[in-house]
Formats: sequence, structure tokens, C-alpha cells
Amino acid sequence: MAYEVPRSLVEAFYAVYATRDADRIAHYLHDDIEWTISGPVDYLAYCGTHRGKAVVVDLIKRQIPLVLRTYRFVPEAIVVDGDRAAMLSRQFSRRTADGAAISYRVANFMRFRDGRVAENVSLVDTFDAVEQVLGRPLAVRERKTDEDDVVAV
Amino acid sequence: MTGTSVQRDVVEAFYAVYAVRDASGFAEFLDDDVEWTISGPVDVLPFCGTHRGKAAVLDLFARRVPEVFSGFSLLRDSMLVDGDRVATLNRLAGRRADNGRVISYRLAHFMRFRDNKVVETLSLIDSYDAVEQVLGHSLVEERDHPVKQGNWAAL
Repeated sequence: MAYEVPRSLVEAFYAVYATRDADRIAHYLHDDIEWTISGPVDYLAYCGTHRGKAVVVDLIKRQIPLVLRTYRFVPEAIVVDGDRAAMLSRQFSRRTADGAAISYRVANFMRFRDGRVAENVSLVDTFDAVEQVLGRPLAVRERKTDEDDVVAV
Repeated sequence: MTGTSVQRDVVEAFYAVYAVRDASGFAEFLDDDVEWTISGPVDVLPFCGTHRGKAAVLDLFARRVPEVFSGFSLLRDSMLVDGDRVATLNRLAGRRADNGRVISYRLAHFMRFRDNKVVETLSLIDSYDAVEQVLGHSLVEERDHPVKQGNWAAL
């Protein structure tokens, strides 16, 4: 029979995850975990795919706090189905460099195996997240095409 | 539990019409009071924002999104059904309507159903990726590039 993750386990993991206590979170991570954060590594250096428990613990404990420190998660939905769980929450953080407030929605799509998280994909409104981390709007101008360069003669 | 449970086959049927952009089929699955939110920058992706009511969401689906994307395909990575709530992770691909450029980005839906109809949807997209593809160029600005040792000039 296929593994089904109990809702109580998902909720327990999420409660610990919200504390950002990497050592406690580690207890819930599978040794072969794959953790992907969708986003631009140029601005959010912790984005990308991280493989293995030690690497993911380092991500949570060291890499992410280099950019922002999260102090609160407000869950909006927890959906559990078979070995998978999806969580939608609002994350409240402060920019590490200067303490500026940062807040955005985050979705986590997880797969559990043997009572531990084996896979996660995190998705956020990355445009909004980058602007908040930078503290300024991104330049979104359309670049000129060759046709625009034609001058009247 | 806050509402009636939705069956997986209803959700599958919803996504079948959603994926092929069948507006009349899509309409069948919308509650009159549906609220549909797409998180992202409206300056570049004008279909983002919160759309309230069946007519507004249908207009979003049948007119506003196609103004940006001419083609559309949806590759589903995962679908979770739990009571009245549904969560899906997908990759959306399309072509920019005005120049045919291919655009592809991750899309998550968190939905709530009532009486087998969608009453609430929140779409989260990798909006930075989407904007770069819609614009057709990187958003990274020169001033944000750290100086690399290899770029140092001898003084």
C-alpha cells in the first residue's frame, strides 16, 4: 500500500518549520531530500535545487538568513492527499541587511516518505519578493526593437 | 470542514476544460460568487490581481489572458484534493500574443470548491521568471552585478 502522510504529521512539521529552527526541522527531513525554491538566483541567492539533508539544513540555517530572517508564518491552507501535502501561507520576514519588513505568500508542495519530507517545491510571487528584497522597483521597460531605431530621413 | 467535499473526477474535469481554454466548459465550473486572484505585477502581466464574480472571471479567461498568451498548454506536476480544497502545481506554457515568443513558468493553484464549482482560486506564479520571458530580456540590472575579480582592470 502506498504511503499516506497523516495530517497530524504535516501539521507538526509545519509548526516546526514556522519556527525556522533548523535543528528541529532536520528531524523531519529525509536523508535524500530534494528542496527546490523557484526564483532568480541573481537576486535571491538561495533559490534553486538543494539536495541532501545537510545541504537543506544549511539552506535554512545559513543561506536564507543571509538575505532575510523570517519571524512568522500565517497558514492559509493545508491540503493533504496521499503522500503529498501543499501549504499556502503568508511569510513575514526582515531583510537581514537593514531590518526592512518583507511579506509575501509562499506555496510549498511536498512529498513525504517514511514520515519525512522527501521533496519540496516552494513557489512565491518572485517579482514581488525580489522588489522587496532590493527595496526598490524592478525596471520593467520593454527594450527597443531594431524597428524603433529607424530614424526619419 | 467548511464546505462540501469535491470529488477528484470533478477536479479532473475542471482541469480538462481549463487546459484547452474551453470558455463555455470553464463557465460550468464557476460559482456565481467566484473570486480568482493571480499574484503578480499588473504593469507587465495585466491579468494579475483579484477578479470577482463569474462574469469577471470568464472575461479574464476568455479575453484578458489571451491578450497576452496566444497559445496555451498546461503540464500538471501534482494535484491534491482534500475536502473542499484543491492544490495543483503546474507548468504553464504559451506564446506571447503579439510576437509568438514562447513563455513557460511554474503555476500553483490553491482552490476551494462549493457544490462542485470553483468559489475561490489563488494563483501563485514564478512572476519574476514570467515577466522576464514576457519582456524577452533579463531584469538583472548592471548595478546589481557584483564586481568579480576576473573583471578587475590593472590600474
